[in-house]
Amino acid sequence: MDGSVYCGTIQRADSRAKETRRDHLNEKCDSETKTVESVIADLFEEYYDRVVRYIYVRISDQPEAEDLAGEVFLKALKSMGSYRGSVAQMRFWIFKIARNIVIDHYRKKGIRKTVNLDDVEIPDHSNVEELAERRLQVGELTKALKQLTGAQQEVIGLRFFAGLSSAETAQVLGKSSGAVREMQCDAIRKLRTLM
Amino acid sequence: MRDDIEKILDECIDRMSAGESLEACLASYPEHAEEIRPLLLAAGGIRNADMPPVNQQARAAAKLKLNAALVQSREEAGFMQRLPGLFAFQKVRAMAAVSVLLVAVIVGVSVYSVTGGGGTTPGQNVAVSAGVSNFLSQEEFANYILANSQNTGGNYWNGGVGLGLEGEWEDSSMVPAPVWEEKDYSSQTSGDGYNRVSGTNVQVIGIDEPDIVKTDGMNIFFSREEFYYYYYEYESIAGTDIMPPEMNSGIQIVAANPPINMSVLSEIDRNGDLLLYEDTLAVFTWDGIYGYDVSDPQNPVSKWEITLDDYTSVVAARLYQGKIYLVTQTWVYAYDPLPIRPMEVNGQSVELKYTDIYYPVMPVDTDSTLNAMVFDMGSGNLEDTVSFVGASYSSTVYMSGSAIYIGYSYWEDETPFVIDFCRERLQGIVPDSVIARINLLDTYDISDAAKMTEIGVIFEEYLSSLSGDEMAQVQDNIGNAMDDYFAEHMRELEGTGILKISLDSLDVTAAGGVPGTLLNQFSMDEYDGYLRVATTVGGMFGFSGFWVSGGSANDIYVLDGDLNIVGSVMDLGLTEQIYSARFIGDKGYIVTYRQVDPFYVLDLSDPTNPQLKGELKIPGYSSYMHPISGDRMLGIGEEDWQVKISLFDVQNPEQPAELGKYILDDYWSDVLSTHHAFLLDEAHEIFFLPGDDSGYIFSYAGNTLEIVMEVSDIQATRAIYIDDNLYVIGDDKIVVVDELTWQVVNELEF
Repeated sequence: MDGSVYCGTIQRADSRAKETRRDHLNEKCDSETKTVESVIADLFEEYYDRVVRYIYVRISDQPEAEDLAGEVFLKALKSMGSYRGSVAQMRFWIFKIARNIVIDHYRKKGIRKTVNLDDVEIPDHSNVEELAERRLQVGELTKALKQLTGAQQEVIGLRFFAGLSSAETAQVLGKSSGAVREMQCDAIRKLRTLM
Repeated sequence: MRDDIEKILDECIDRMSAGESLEACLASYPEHAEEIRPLLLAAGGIRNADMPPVNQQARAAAKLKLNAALVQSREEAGFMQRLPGLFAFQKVRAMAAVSVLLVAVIVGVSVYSVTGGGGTTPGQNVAVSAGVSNFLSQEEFANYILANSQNTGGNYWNGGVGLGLEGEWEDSSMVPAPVWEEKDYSSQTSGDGYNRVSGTNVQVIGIDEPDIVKTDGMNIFFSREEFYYYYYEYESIAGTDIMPPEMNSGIQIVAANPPINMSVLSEIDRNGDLLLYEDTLAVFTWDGIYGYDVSDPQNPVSKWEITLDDYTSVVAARLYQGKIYLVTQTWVYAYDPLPIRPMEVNGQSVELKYTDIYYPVMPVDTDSTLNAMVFDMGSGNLEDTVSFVGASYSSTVYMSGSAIYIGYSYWEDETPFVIDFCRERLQGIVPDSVIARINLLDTYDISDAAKMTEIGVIFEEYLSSLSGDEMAQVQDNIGNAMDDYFAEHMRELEGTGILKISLDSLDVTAAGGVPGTLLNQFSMDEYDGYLRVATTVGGMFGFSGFWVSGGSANDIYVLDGDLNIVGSVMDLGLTEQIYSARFIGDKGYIVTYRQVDPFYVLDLSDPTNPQLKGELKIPGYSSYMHPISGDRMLGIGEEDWQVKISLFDVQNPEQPAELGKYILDDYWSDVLSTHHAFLLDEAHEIFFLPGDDSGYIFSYAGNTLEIVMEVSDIQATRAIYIDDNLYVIGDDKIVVVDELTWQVVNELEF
């Protein structure tokens, strides 16, 4: 199936495959004395806060981000049947789900909000040292982020708020590491001028 | 060059995240320092942005929801999964043969020692008796919650609801248990326009369970599954959905009788399990329960709403004599527990009174309240409620005609278990100095988790001082000693607390417990005033790299009206786990499953002297058992990953026999995850079960299992019958079949 497109459903994904998958995962987990459920529970403990932060910088709404982060783990549990990867890779998968949930969030809300450039307060920080000294207000950051391309925003969200490496970010986005590094560099250059 | 900058920037961002200074990074790349410095400063600004803190209540609510989903996932998976952690009790599942333990339980003849029957460990105290009390003041409640919340915050997957020891409990007048009629488990009769109609396949006759299909004999109410279409793009890791989900759902109200005029009358824009009573349809959605007046099925009218708050989830629900019995769980914030308002009913907030909240005499981990509530189906009004404190672990609900029984898993702390093991069994295996260190460690005032870590260090240091051969020998000896110790003591490690809530008074009228864990609602059954409980104990156990290779056993306990254990059969299916349980009248049927193959037959007619009567080998296992007339039992399960149906003759408990077997070419049937998907029609000696992409109608006439019809090209999920028409219901259509001719009468596509 590699590379091909497959149409399936989450809840009615081939249940048998789901079971087989679950067993397979359990076998994998056995070496670490973990069951699938406990892996999800552990992922929740470790990544819930990071998922909230990642979603927050994408949607700028903290309560909503907290709700959506909860959905990420519920969806992870439901989608276990379609998961293809090792236990160690599950954390990228969590952020993949988070990313898709953000996309769904925007779809549900209709056309993606755009920010009028005139509304963006661009403080004059001619001295970049000053930027590092003070605590950047997150509102400034999210406003500035909206001036980036969607892919650049994702890179910033995953690298700085989800805490993934550029290789991991590449896995989540389905891009090469080089592309991620390039987007990261471009994004930072642009943000520097905006913040 | 540009590529270089990107790489260096990336590396420096990682190094600075790990704590290195900006200058140290720049020093590594002096030639690029000037260009990179402003970028790294900006990166630092981004990383240190002043983010709002994550709301801990939201986090806890998300955790509770996830926990509820995990419990459901476990139940749907149809097997027990054990707790994670150093002392992981693992699911041990392997391809192999089945054991069906045929257990004739004659209840409550006399009180006798629970270790008297079949147990291998005389003198072992397995009884978990109980004492509970209700709170007398708000302060008492708040203090209790705070004092007992400490262990559940960090790792709520450990510990558990335990019930106190040796409590006095006031007796309440027993309500007579319902009489089990060994005929027609699913149908009702009479009514206008039809002579007979099936109901949802439930555990107890007359007590309805929410499901996606209900019928009143004239109309079908069907909640289509929420279809989320995703397009997966397979990559090296998880599927990436590159399209947004498309939802296709809603409750269809279908004019079904007569089938020739079948049509969709209306649709309710909600999804979930349904209950139907007279003219009221209740819909259980993810966030609440919604009542509709469906007296005019073309125009369902919203009647009442029960909306759950973010910290509350539904554990189970039943419909009995026009009342909804609802068990919910509400996460309690330790630092500010009151008021507890789990839901709103028609916009009115429901507040739990602390005097209605019970707690065990012996304090246990607490992070939530479990609430049993009665609502009037017609009005949605909350009529009564009772709660008790506990932790949000798996709970199993069974309801008889007289009481709700709620079973909770709990795990005793393993640290004392391991320390006792080391003291008692490692003399002569490891040097005295190792045991002395463990004894000393035990005196320290540190957490149990810290003690376990230290024990690991002690063993690691000792073992690393040995040569390879010596080490292997010592590890072997420790492993063997652990096997023995675990087999003798595994019942002390995990248990199930059981609360009994009388339907009459909706008060907790008894509390007790048994060792081991429950599989599902069928693991409990009330008969003639006694509760029968089937549990699995054991599984994998280990510490510091030593593992017990899967000592497990299955027990059946008989508890009296006060939930004291009065009889038991232990150690059924050693090394196996229960895959299904069913209690019918004075008999119990247990299917266990294991790696190698014995099939046991036990006669338990004398509870003080249970005996192994016979042995039979059949491959595969049954995860659902359904009794049919003529002392027969159907088993639905799997063999070699394919759906298997077995027909057992259970007339002679000493000689159960497999009368017939059928292996479908399907890998899955919804019956494997929910008994609601099964339908029996004894009038025609047939039963229905959904397959992968079709619905199967089987005949068991003449004790032969035969497919009488495969309704293909339908994602069948359920079937019902009205008179002699069988309605096979799928997500996209309903196909009606005449049960006399097995011809398709009509189809309705959604």
